[in-house]
Amino acid sequence: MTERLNSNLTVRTLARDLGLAAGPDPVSAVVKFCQARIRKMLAEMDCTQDACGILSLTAAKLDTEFVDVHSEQEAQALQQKFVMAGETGLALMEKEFATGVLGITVLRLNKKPFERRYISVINCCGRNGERAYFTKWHELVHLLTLTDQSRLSFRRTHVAVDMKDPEESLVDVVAGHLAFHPPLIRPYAKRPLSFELIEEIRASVFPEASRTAAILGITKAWPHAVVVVKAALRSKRGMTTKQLRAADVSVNQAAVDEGVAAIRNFRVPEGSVIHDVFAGRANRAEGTEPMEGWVSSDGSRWSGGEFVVRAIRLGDCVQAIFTRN
Amino acid sequence: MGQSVSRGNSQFGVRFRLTGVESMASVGDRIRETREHKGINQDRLAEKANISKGFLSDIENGKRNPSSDNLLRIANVLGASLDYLMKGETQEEHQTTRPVQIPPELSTAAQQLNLSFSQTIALLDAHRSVIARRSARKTKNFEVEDWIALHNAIRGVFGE
Repeated sequence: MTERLNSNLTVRTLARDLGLAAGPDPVSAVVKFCQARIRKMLAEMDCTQDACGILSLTAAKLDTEFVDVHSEQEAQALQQKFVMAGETGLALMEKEFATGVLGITVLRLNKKPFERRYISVINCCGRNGERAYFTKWHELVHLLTLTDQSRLSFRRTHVAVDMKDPEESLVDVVAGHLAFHPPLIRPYAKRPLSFELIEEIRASVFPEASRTAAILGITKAWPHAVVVVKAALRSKRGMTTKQLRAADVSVNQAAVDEGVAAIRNFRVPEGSVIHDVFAGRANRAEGTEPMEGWVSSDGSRWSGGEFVVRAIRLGDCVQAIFTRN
Repeated sequence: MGQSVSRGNSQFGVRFRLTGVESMASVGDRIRETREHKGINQDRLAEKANISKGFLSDIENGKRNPSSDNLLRIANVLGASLDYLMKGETQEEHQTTRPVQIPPELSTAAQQLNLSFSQTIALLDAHRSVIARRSARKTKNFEVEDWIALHNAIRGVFGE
């Protein structure tokens, strides 16, 4: 996905509007821009630098007030309260939350002197609560990357095409980097990465993050090579027969730096432990496998040498992490 | 009365302004003033900010200074701006001098609803105040019926 975003005009325009010399990788430029802004905020105020502290300080410095909504009744009551106070941008909040919106950030129209400039209302109803940590970072990334151009023009709800806005995809990528602040993860990096360690880190460092977000976020921030694969039954383009394939692939920067290459939709090699777990021969399995064992029908292969593959069942999929040890 | 301090952030066009009263007041004064404005007593603020009531009282009376962590927790509970609590500063938006552009869908909705120009602009402002939205669904254009729904939702709150 990052490759597609790097060549997207909206993403390149945003990088330019932020004053970044993006070159061929505007996504990384935007990530670094946001990380630099947060480092500056942390340096300005001597606050506790755990995950919650960083989120809280960033919100305060960006002048937004988080308001968590836990039920339909609460959404109704808050909508009423905000609109009565002149914040009419939230007049459809209840309806939006009921139809899948996870977070809304508005500029206050009727701000009192002591109030923060923005309100970020977060949908924590039901299972959305598990995504609240990432949603908050998503909203903050919008504020970190706000430019005069974006504030003065219609943008987000006037996207003419019926597809995920590339800027929203970019915001998700950036939020993933910020939500799992690497210095908080580094102390654990002497140990081999496993699903158990990821859960240990999540529970102690990022307790508000969902397990799914934690797997992706922690592996991305891990200082050693990691590849994450979600394997599921998929068919090749133009074919109907389904086979076990890499439905989603994430290669962290450390792996990219080592020359690891892995592409979506490759068939899972026959001897892989991923097959054992998918077939129900084990709930979880581990084995040492070469990346080059992943071969496409046109002969192209993954690259990167040997990895330890740890796989677990996840509903009708198998999730696997590839590490060097 | 007041004194403008231009410390403009050229990217965002924000100015900081110190008002006369606030510039003389202390952090403690502003915390107390904000707390009272929000209708929160010291017990509740202290509990939610995870500090003792005695410590909060000392802060409000100017006898002690809060640490950065404590100030951040207090600001979060009050939903208050850090700049305001620390320095009595409030950020003001630059007035945009661009001509107003009313989207055709809003123009159509305004005609159907028989809205005045100022009512139409108020509706536009409401929509434009939304800076960001995270959704599991795909984005779509704001159509005529969406503008009408927004207008009706706002009116509904005021019982009109």
